[in-house]
Amino acid sequence: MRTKLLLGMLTLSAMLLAGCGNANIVNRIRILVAVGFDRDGELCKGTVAYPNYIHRKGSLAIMKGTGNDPKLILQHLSLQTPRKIRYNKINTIVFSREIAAGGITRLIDTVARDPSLGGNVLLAVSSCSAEKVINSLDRQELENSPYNVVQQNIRDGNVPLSNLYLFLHDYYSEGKDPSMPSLRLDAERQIEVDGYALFKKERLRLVLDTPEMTLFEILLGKKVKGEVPFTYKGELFVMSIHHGSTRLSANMRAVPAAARFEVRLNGGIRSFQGNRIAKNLFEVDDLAASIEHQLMEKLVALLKKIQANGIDSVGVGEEFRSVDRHWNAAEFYRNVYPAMKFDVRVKATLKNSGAGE
Amino acid sequence: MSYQASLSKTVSPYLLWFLIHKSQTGIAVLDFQCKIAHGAEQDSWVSVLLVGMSMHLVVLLMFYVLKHAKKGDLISLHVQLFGKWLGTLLNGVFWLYLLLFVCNQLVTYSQVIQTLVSPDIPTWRVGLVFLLLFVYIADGGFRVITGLSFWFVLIPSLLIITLFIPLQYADWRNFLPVFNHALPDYAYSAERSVPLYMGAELLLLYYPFIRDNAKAIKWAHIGVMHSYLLYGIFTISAFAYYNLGQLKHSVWPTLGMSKIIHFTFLERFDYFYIFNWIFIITPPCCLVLWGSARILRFSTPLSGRVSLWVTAAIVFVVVTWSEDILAVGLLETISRYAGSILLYGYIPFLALCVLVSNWIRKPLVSNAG
Amino acid sequence: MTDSREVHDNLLPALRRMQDKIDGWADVIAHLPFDDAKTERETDRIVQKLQQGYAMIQLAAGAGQALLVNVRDENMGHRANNDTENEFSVIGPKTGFVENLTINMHLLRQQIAVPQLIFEETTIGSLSRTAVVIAYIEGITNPQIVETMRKRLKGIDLDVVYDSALLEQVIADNSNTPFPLFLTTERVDRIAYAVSSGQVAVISGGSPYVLSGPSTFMDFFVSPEDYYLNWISGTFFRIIRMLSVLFSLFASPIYIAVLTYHFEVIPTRLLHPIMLSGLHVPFSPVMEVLFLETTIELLREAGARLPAKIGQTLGIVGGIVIGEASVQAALTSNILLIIVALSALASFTTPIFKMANTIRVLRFPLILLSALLGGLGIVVGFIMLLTHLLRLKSLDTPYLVPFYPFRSGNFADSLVRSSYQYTTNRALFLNPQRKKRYKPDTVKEDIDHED
Repeated sequence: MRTKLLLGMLTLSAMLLAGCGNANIVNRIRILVAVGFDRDGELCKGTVAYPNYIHRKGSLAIMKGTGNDPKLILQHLSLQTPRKIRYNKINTIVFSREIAAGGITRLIDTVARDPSLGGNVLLAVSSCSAEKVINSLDRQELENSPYNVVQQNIRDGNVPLSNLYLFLHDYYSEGKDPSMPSLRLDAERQIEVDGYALFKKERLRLVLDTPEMTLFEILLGKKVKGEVPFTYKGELFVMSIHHGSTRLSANMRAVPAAARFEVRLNGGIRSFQGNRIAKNLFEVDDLAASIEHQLMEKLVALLKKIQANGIDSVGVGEEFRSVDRHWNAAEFYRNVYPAMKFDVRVKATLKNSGAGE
Repeated sequence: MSYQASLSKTVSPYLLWFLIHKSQTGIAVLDFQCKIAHGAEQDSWVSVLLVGMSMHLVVLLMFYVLKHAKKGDLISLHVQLFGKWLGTLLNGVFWLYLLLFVCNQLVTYSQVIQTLVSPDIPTWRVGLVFLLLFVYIADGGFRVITGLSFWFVLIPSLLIITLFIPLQYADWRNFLPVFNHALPDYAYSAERSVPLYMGAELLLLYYPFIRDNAKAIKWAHIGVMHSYLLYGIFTISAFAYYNLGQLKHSVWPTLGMSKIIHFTFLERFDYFYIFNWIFIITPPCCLVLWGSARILRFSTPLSGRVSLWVTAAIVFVVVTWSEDILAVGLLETISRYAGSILLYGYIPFLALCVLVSNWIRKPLVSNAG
Repeated sequence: MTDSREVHDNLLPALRRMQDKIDGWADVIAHLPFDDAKTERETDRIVQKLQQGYAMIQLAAGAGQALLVNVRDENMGHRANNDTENEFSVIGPKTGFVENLTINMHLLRQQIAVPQLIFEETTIGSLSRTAVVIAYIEGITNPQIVETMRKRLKGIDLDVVYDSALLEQVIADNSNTPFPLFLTTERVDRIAYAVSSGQVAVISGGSPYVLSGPSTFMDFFVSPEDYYLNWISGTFFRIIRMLSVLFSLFASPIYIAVLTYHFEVIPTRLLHPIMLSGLHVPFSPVMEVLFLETTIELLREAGARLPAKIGQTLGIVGGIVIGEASVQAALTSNILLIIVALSALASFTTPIFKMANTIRVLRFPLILLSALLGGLGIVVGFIMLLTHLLRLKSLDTPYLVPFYPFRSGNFADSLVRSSYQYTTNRALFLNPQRKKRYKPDTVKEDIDHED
């Protein structure tokens, strides 16, 4: 009797529940993978790319919509399609510089509050219009998406680690300003990373070029890798950093307050006879010293440049916050940070790294 | 001295570990970090641990109280201490509290489902599915619930390993500087972390079903310790992964942490966390349903099975009604206050009553023993 | 009924030889080369014995009494070979039980040769009068278990006991469950193992399947071959078998849930094959899965009913032709075809056929739940399943032992089949009267590192 009752209840609930939520069946929706935002007069213009499986066997196609808010843009896009639009799998969001300079709070807030997106989404600024960047994906394979371009470089250490989570982390942080990679189209309409965009809260302030990007990555100390060029006795050499570390420490007592960066690099020189010099017992110290000196100067210059723009992308404030029990963000950035001294120490260790003599 | 149900209905004492621990974990683990962060900020882990340790005291008091109950549970103790009318009234209040507890869990979880998984599924459907499941489990009796608690400690524990991935983004400076908050801040965080530990009071109902229950207190302490160590891990990983600004802006930090996890075969690991929480809310909800059905059975002429269905039906109605976001918040607040009063006010009061009645009416107790 | 050769070769010549000097029954019996020859007075008994195939001899002198000689043909109507047909193993003995009770008892005796092996015979079935034997080892098996089994069997009132499977269902603790609560097997080694570890076996006349209990969930995934291989390979195959159960239960529900509700979890690179293979399928994933699962069930059912040779052809026709054609006709996607075929394959790895069937049946409610509620439904289904398993008992022993109630002493031989060094104890949840099975190996000489 009891089981019958239970079975009855189960069938009843099954009937009640039947027919709900077939909205997401995977081959009946249009899955967006990349979106770019541009300013279009008063409105915001969104360009999206999605894999088109029906006509193009999965290569990407483009749609455009305008609106004041990401949700309104989505509505506009939806008006153009026979299939439902789902944006849960977007992995690239590109802002034009114009939008980024004007502040991306509205866009970021919508994105951050929307639980549909994962934490690994790539945020990027584009030097040309975002529309152009997304348009270049037309008839391309998914494989060529900007997300993969940037991810590949992050893995290789050419671009600092960056994603939606890290951007939000810095955005809400009191002692650090957010940053993201910058993209552009080259002459062959290929997407490339052309630098690193530094923000003051939600506004774009400064774009670093690619050599500075490597230095910036060294300063961040999360994943120290990449190629550093330097000159020695008039010749150009390139040091490949295999691994390294950067320790940031705050000196509050000094007047003016100072931040010290201790950079340790392990790497080798493969280019142009570098390994031969590195093997020479009498020259290797000189070689290392010249790397250290040149790198130190470049890093200090970069820090000064960031400081001069009134932003703290490296997170010096965060370090001061963690050691100062009475730290106050507003006071720190008004009085202490602009006058701060940077003390950078570089220690380079060269390893044998060539096969030829 | 202490009463124990017939042997075939009892469970081994070591299972008290899993029962106590599992009845404490619930929906609160999803979002406590952002609530406690408003108080002692980066030091709130201290509050979480301190509240957890205070539970040792609560467990001690509960064991003391229960040892002197004629039938080994709160229902009989109320009648025994306060007489038939007042006792039944108090049982009714406790019953309401239990309903509140399970409603809070269900409503909040259906919020999670609606926000993160499918926005178009109404609360009553989630509620119906869960209540049918809970009734089926609770119908199996205490041993089945205990078995589930045991399994559902083991299965979700596997997910703790995956916290390793978000912790690669951890910034341990987030905990610095340590201890720069005042006592009221800690108190605020402590008050907000009470919901994490609510559920231990269910021991008041299932105590007679533990074999050798008077000696089982060791396992209860281990269970409590398990809880606060686990919450310690969750607190610390959330505070390391998020900075304070981010934490104050997020809704379910525990789920948020899982958003960064992705594998080549599975892009969004957060779904695992969301569905895993079913394992976490099921045992406490079933225990509560079982317990409240027991209260009904002893206080009213209803039979056990009928009172189970009645309780479930009432919960279903409440869950269906409290669909909007304000009601959810209200439910959460009321249940937090009720839980705090029960754990830190009423249980000590009960212990005092038992002490006094032992002192005054010695012969009665020796009869009872 | 009677063995005519016995009658012609032995009984009649013996009678002819003693024609002249008959004094009484004792004389006759002494001259007959038969052990089972007794006089009988009561008509009822005589009728009964005649029906069993005895020969009746009457004497003119000894009126009112008849001599009954056992000349029945024990093997008449029975098969000659007793290979295990359904529970095959590559390594190990291949003899199995047959439809004859005496032979079955004999087979069991061959493996357990101690006098403590007790056979208790009862008769069940108001029409069939089937002899049913309870087998256990005195001094090992807990008497309480034997008593419970005795009581359960005594309570049975059936008309015809066709097979021990009938008994199994009637004595089961809970009849509303798809799970088999007693192990039924045709392998002698399995029953010998069960009896030797303290379980009770029930042999029913006319059934080649012998049941044993109390059984646990794990017992159904244990193959005798695990014990014939070394413990590392044995454990590996056992774990593969357990995983294949999970796979065959959850693969198609997960497919439905992901494709219907949670498309975000599909990695971008996997999206491509899934979309391309399922693009033109007009049905929702549930319909697709149900269609394919039903097809496979049909194939299996038809294959089981057909003669072996046709069955093979049918498998090929069904598997390849229908599958290929339905993909061609865009009724299903390739990927689903792979998943469904694999999960069907996985369900066949379970050594006990009844459990394999259960798993196949359980897939359908899970499919429905996942179609209704997505991932939520799968988890709810899983909890339901677990609760159901927790509620089950076999001869009053919890079904999920040793996982719950947790018995750490029994883990040497459950998920992992440890080396014989460590499986020296009997399963403790059976409360055997003697816990030690054997003494572990003497320590062998290790490679000496100190010389």
